Amino acid sequence: MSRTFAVIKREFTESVRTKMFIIMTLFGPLLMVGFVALEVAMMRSGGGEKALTIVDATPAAVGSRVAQMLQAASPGEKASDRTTFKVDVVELTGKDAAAVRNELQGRIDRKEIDGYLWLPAGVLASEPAMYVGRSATNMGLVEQLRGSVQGAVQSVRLADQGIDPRRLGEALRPVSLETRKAASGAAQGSGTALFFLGYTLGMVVYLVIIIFGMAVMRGVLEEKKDRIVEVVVSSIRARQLMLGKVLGIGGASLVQVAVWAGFAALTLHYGPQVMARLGAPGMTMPQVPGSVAGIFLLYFAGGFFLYASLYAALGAMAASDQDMQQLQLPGTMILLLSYMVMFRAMTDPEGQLAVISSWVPFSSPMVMPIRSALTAVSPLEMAGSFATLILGGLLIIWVGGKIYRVGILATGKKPSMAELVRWVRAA
Amino acid sequence: MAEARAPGGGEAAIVLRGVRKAFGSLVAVRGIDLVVPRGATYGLLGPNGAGKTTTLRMLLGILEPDAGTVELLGSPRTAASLDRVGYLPEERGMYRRMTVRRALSFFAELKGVSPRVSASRISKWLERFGLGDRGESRVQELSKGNQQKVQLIGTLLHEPEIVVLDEPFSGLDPLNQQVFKDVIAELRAAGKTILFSTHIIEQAERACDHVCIIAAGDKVLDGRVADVKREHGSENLAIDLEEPTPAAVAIVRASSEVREVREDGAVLEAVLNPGADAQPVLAALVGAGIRLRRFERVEPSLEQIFVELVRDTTPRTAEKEVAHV
Repeated sequence: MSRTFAVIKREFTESVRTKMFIIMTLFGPLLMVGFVALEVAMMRSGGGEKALTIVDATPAAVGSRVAQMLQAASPGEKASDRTTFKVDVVELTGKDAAAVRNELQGRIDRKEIDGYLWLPAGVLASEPAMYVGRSATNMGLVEQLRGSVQGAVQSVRLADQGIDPRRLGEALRPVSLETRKAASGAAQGSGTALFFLGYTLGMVVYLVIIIFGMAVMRGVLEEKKDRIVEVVVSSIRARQLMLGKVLGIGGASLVQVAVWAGFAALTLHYGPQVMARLGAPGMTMPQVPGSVAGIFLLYFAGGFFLYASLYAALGAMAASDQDMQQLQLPGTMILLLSYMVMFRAMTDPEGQLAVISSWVPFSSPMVMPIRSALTAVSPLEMAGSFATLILGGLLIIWVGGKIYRVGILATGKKPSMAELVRWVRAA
Repeated sequence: MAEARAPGGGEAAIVLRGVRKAFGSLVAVRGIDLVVPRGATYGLLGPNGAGKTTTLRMLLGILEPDAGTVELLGSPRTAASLDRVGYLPEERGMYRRMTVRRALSFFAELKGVSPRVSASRISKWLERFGLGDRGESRVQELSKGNQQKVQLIGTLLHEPEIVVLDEPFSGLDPLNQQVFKDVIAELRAAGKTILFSTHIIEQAERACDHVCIIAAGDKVLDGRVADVKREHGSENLAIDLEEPTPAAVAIVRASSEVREVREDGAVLEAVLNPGADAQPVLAALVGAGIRLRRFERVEPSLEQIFVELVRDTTPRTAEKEVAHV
């Protein structure tokens, strides 16, 4: 055991001494927040002022209504996220359509305007409106244009039917529904905040497993390629080496996750105050009970053990970096699939998929902590799920250990499936 | 089981009995018996692909034999007995990104030597090899020769009783070869058992007191170097003429003491019959007025024995490279 400990110690200290580890540990949370923020920003991706010309060919002056709606800020939207419009309405009556188009195209080319919106005479019936602009794929912009055109056309149609659009709007005013989980023991907070929490937890598990799983795989290949392994296994058993590697690198990853969890706890605790102090009372922070954090760490450790062993076995099969790139694929695919399952489970934590995937060792490390955060999972189910995770982990280690034992000494080409079966039998 | 006795009476450090290993359909080692006496310097000789490394790996527990037994220092091989063995593999390798000291400390720890104990030994060895100031350098920052020295240190930090060296001189420049030779000579003087494999027979002949020649996974012969030479080799005459003389070749060839003559210009090499007397050959040459630069009885070289024996026994690996000599 003391020899295994020597390996654990080496793997751990060598891992935490790398610059990458230090940077990721300290700046990982920032990176993660930045990542999420970037994603949100990309989804909105609006802002700025757009110069727009509306060509109105309709008899009912739809164009000026569209202009009005574009210029009115929709409620609940922050000014900074919104595209503002400088609109210019042109009546088509009496002009040659083709000439107008040419002229507008010229103005776009000269960057005098960003685009023009063409409202054909039949737009009230079903003829499509057309936007021609420099960025026809800017989703935020297109969404705003569509909404405005639709609103304007609908209000004209309603007026034609003798209905006052304002009164209709009053009647159709949306009702807001706040969601909170009633389950005791689960995290408390608004639905959005919980979703955000689940998203972050899943992301952390996915990233950490992939980063450190790869580190295990690279480490195995390094020992093999640099011919270190021969000396090592003349002193200790291959099994001890593999175990020490997985536990040592796993320990390093746990340190990183614990530091991140500390950051997260601080954020959850002081976040609202800080936000309020900054004059931006953001969303309510979810309250995470200690049990959820405990379950998260437990499942993270179990999941890491499972995946790291898998990556170690895959690494033992590789003889070169190219092999490694191919061989990491199965591990990464399983992980990615579990990540996707987790998303699905998050939207319906009581559903069949969520329940079944909680019992599958590969996906339970991702699904279960999130389920336990979002809903009440019975202790029996939790215990059973954790037991299958550990059993699955042990099975992977057992098979992986056999592959590892033969694989670390095998050089040359990658083993075929038949050879692999023989390795497992022979070892 | 009674402790195995080495030929010559000493206690055995290493005993292999009927050890066999196959990889799929390729039989690498076909049931080898090997007894290495304690304190011996033992050479395992054979052409490339003969099964030397596989034999060493089975001895060290890196590979498990398909059949046969391995004993170290008088009892079946265990993790504890492996702690008393040091191994330098042919393909050298170190953790390149670790510092020299940390890498060495790790290797010592794998053999059960605590970092506290190994620290001073590491310093001593590094000083000796002129690497005293490189302890905190990363292994990859060292020259190849220095990396090899570091690995040799790693092999010896736990002060093993048995030192196993696989092709120890391969890839070393002449200076470092000398460093390695000096260390081996010291280990030998300190009474350690040294087992090394090589395909360079000259090295074995100079360094070893025992040899085992294997070819195509089989043992061809083993024993003390002197015995092997006596039993398998024949004595030679080295004759240098002042100038090439066909008459001289004819005289030597005609002698009843001589079995075979090889000529190369003015240099003749005559293989004597067992128990032959060289004096009549000299007398005949001098009597014929042939001028000589040199007339010497020489021992057979191990290389010659090796080539003859291995040539006879390696039809199975005919396609493989045979003995870089």
